[in-house]
Amino acid sequence: MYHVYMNYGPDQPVLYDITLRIGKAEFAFVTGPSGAGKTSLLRLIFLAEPCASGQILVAGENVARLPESRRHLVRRKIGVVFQDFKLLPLRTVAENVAVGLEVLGWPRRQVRRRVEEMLRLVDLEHKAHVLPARLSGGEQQRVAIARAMIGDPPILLADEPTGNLDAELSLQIYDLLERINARGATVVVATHDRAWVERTHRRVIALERGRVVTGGLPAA
Amino acid sequence: MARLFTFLRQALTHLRRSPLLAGAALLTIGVVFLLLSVFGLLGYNLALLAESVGQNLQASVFFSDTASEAEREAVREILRRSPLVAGFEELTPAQAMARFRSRLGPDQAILEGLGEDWLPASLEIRLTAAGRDPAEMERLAQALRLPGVEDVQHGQAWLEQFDRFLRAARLGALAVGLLVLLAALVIVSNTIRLAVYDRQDEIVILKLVGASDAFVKVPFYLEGLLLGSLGSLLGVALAWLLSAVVQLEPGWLLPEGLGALALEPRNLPWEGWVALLCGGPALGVIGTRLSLGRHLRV
Ligand SMILES: Nc1ncnc2c1ncn2[C@@H]1O[C@H](COP(=O)(O)OP(=O)(O)OP(=O)(O)O)[C@@H](O)[C@H]1O
Ligand SMILES: [Mg+2]
Repeated sequence: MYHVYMNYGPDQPVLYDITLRIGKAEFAFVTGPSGAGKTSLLRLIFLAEPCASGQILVAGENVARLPESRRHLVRRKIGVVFQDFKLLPLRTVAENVAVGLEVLGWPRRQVRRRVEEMLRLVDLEHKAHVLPARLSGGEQQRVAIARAMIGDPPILLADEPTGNLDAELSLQIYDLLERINARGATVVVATHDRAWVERTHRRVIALERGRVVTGGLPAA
Repeated sequence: MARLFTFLRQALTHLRRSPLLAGAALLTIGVVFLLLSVFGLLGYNLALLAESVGQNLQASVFFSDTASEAEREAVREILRRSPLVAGFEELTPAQAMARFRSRLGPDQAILEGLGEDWLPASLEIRLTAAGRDPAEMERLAQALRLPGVEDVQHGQAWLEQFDRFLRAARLGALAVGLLVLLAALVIVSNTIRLAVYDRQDEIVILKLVGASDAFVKVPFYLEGLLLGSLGSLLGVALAWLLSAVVQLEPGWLLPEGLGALALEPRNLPWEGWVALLCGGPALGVIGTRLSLGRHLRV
């Protein structure tokens, strides 16, 4: 599904000569020590950073040379759970989740219904009208997850989606990710949560200091 | 439609979040439109005045005491043929004196002791619209300076001066108006620019979750629109009030002497007011456009 091959660096290079391919409807982990470049890799995919050279194909589209005016069309196919959540501080939990659909142009009533559904799924209905600053780290994380998944994107990128969650909630979140994957979405999870990676027997792409160590190409 | 309403509510919320900035912008725009409206009113009234002066344009031919009937007839003949002349009236010295007296009104005492034939016999000429052209009029005056004619007078020199004054005033008002508009544009554009900086993080997040450029920009345009509309409404309403007061009580603002010009302040036609009111939203949108230019790249 993506065919990523790039060299990347703002001032100092961060990712070197990465080639990897993640198939449609695949579930893959990106692992590696802190600072290995997991977040950077994901940022390339959802077009938050330009790549210095190489090609990145997302859903068959070469996004490396995509004009700015069309970037949002690719981003709409990708749900992102940011490592730092990136919630809108002045909007309530429900409004933050709703944004995921509003940018797609959904009508208001349907947005409201879907938001309720989504909040129930991440167990946050009771906090719907609270501002993000009033939430615990784990609660904020679940809001971010709800926003990323609400539009049922064909691609879901999750950067440490369980970083702030206890074992039970993590289980719930992985269950959610598995379910969205089962529905046909490609799911990529960046994490250093070894326990989870080993338990799920999913494909692992290991990064180390900006290079792919193992798992760049799917096991043949 | 519902979405637009949501956007509008957002824009209002945002404006309320920085009341000082929004208030200052609103006030500036209001003052600008008050000024523009006053310029419009003055210009409109001056133009009306110029038109009425032009319509009442007259010229006079004064005969010398010795002018013969043949000489007078020659003058009449020229007047009958000239396309500049709408009609004329012949005045004997006595008639001329009587008219002069009535024009002076209470000051006629200064004519005391002057004989009835102190003024020469004369022809008072009403001019057509073509007579407004100073060159044409001067040519006619030359033609009329025949034997037996003492003097030909026409208001052209004065009119020309008035025209020149009008042109200068119009140019000045235009320049000041443009300057003031530019200032308002800068204010709007800066207000929106600050709002963009203020919400930079929010913009980035929105774009990362798939918002189109339009989705991000519309609230800012609405804010600009709102500022411009409310500002112009404020200024124009004030000017309208001012104009209404001046019409009720013309002597209130105008210097004493001007009353004698039969200056009757008139209100702008409604089209003028509408145009002024539309200027506000236009200003808001253009100002926003200027500040949004390159700030939303993500
Ligand atoms: N915006 C940036 N500008 C410059 N360098 C950056 C930027 N973001 C990250 N880096 C650098 O890139 C490297 C990889 O960072 P990245 O965030 O991708 O790591 P990571 O694998 O996600 O780590 P973690 O597990 O701690 O989240 C780091 O050395 C970091 O210093
Ligand atoms: Mg990271």
